[in-house]
Amino acid sequence: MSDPIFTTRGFLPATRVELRANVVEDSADRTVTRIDKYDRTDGAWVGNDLDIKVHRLPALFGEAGTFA
Amino acid sequence: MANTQAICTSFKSEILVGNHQLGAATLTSRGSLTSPTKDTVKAALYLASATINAATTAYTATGEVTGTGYTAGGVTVTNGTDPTTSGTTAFWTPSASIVYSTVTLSTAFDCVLLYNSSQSNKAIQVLTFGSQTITAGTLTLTMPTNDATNALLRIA
Repeated sequence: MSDPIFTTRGFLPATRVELRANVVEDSADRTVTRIDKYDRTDGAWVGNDLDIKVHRLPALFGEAGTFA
Repeated sequence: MANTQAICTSFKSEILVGNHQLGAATLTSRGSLTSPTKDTVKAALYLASATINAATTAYTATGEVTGTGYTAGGVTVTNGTDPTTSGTTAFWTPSASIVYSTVTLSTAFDCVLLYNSSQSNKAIQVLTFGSQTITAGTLTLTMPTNDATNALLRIA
């Protein structure tokens, strides 16, 4: 059984909440997914989650100097 | 103003003087001679209107998000995997997702600052993303694969 889901109406049973996920940003660095939540009893929007997947960020480069 | 993704410039010099210990502590000259400890890394969220970038030297409350369920300073990063190397690259990644649970942040935010809360909140790295809000929800930052190519913090 799934855990309850936090919403603007407090914690609701997972079966009562419809989740609609949309990828709002997708790049080499990251993928951002917004998950809107709706109460199945009346269709009301009851909040949203965000899932940000970090893919790869620029590295810090070490460089050895040379004697003058 | 805007936030800009970067490894903080101050961090680059601080690692040369041993300010940061993100893995099993080896410096015995700091904190305790007998049982030095690993530093604690935290992650704070910033408004899209803030100015957090490579020039940021430490955590600041200026421009930080406020809202239900969010505590100033952000959350502690799970750090169960020590920095390591592969080939010529050193790397480190938090060992679990960074999660802000049951929050409402109504003003747009687009930035996370990782900082060392054990060492005067010294800044480490800035991560940015498209401006977002969240209502009665959970923000999850899923970390990349911890390897020489993808790790969150890499020194190549």
